[in-house]
Parts: sequence; structure tokens; C-alpha cells
Amino acid sequence: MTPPTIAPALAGGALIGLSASLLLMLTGRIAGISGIVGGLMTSAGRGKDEASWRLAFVIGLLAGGVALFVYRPQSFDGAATVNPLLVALAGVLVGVGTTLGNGCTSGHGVCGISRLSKRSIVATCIFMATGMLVTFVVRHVGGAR
Amino acid sequence: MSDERFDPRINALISFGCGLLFAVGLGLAGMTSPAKVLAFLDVTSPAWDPSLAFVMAGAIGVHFVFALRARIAAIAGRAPVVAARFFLPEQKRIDRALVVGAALFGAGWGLGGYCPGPGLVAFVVTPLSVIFVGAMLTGMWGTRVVQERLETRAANRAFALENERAIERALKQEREA
Repeated sequence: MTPPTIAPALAGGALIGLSASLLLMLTGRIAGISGIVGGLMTSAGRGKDEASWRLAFVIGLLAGGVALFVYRPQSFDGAATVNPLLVALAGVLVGVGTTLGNGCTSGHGVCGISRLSKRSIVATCIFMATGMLVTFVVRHVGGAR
Repeated sequence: MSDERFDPRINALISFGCGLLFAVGLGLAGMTSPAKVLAFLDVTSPAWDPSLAFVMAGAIGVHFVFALRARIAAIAGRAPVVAARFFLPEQKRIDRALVVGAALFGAGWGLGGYCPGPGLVAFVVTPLSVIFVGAMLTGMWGTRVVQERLETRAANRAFALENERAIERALKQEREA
């Protein structure tokens, strides 16, 4: 188990909120990661101007990953599972789920709740609940890990 | 949605900066560490780590103010700095797709320890997240293909039905004439 890290969590959260606020006030876009990435897969989102800001955001995320790896490698600690099949299953569930549900932790959990969107509040409660349920089953019922 | 008054390169540059800032925020917050994520989701454990709840508190605390300002600006007909309008979600209905989608997403988050943002941030760093991101993109793409096909089918069916009715009306008029 990990020791609580309240201060960096609050500070990191504030940076996420700042990033979402800058994107919204400057470009008018919602900083929902699954929406930004998924938009690249629609015919409308593949237009040149539409695709460029989406790709640029994703490249920013990847660049941020490199910076974190260099200056703060503990940011990537741990693995939920080392079984590549389970990781692939997790990825498919996240991809299908965020597309059907129109959002993830950022789009619903941060941007949507900030707008007091009922859809986002419901979605966030549901994905938190199933996330906790699966973690409970894997850790305490399955006995693995 | 191109607009000649705005240079898409400026938008891309701002987006890159926001993506970078977003990633650093996720990393500092602990969202990119599956160990932290699972310690947060494992609520029944005596060693439950509530830290990640504070990520949401910090993010919403800052974004709430600006989301409200954006909404007021959008209603007043004002535009953001480098775009013609605000692109705010218009869906209001809580439907089955939202509920099922959120449930599946949560299950994947608990199973793999990554949500979409952190998965991408970890992409160049941890080999497992390469598998995760590949599978996630496949899932996103596949779902959209099926969705688009269903929409096309529904549109075609509506079109065929409308045609059939038009023919019937024409025949009826002919008989009556």
C-alpha cells in the first residue's frame, strides 16, 4: 500500500484544472482525454484543423511523460498486473467504455463535474464504483497480485 | 470547423502546452502510478490511500471558476480567445450508453490501473502501457465503427420507410384521380 500524498495530489490536481481552464478559455475546447483522442477517429475530427490541435495535445501528454520520467520517475510506480492479456483487456474496456459513455476521468470527472453536468456526475459515480468493485474482486476475492 | 480569422497553428501550440501541463499535473498527482490508483480504489483495505480524491478536489477547485465563466461567456455570445465559439457538450440525457459505458470504463481502470490520460503519459515510459494504449485505441475505434454503422442503418431504414410511404401516397392519388 502507498502512504498518503495529499499535498502533491492537490497541487497536481490544480495543474490539471489549470490546463483544462487554459484550453477552454483560449480555444473553447473541453480537456477530456478520451474525447480528444476519440475525435481523431471520426470523419469530422480527421479534418486538418480539427486533427492538428488534438494531435498536439496528445504529443504534449507524451512529452510530459518523458519529462516526468527524467525528473520524477516515481510517478510511474507499480503495475496493476504484469499479465499482458489482462492489460489488453483493461485497455479494450477503457476504450469501449469511454466511447460509449462519452468521457473518462478528465472529461466527466473534472470538466463535467466542474460544469455541474448531471450526466458527468452520474458517470463519475458509476466508474468509481465499478473501479472499486473490480479492485476489490481482484485483490480480496481472487487473492492474486 | 476551420475559420479564416484564426490560425490553427496557434491552437495546436496552445493544445501542446496544455497537454504538457496536464501530463505534469497527472504525474505529480499520482494518477500515472498504478500503485497509487489501486491504493485509492481499494476502499475496503485498512491501508486505503485517499490521496487521489484530492486530485479531483484540486482540479475541480480551479476549473469550476473557469467552466462557469466559459458558460456565461457562451450564453452571452462571446467567443474564446483563439476560436469562433465554445465547444461545450450539449447532451443532457442520462441514457443506457452513458451508464454501461461508465461501468465498463471503471472496470478497465480498476483492472489495468490506467485511465486514458495517464495511459498516454506512461506510453513512452512503461512497456505495459504500450499494450494498454494499443488496446484502448482499438476499443475506441471499434466502438465508433459499430456506432457509425448502426446510425447509417437506422438512417437508411428511415429513408426506405419514407420512400415507401411516398410511393403509397402517389399510388393512392392515382387511384383516386
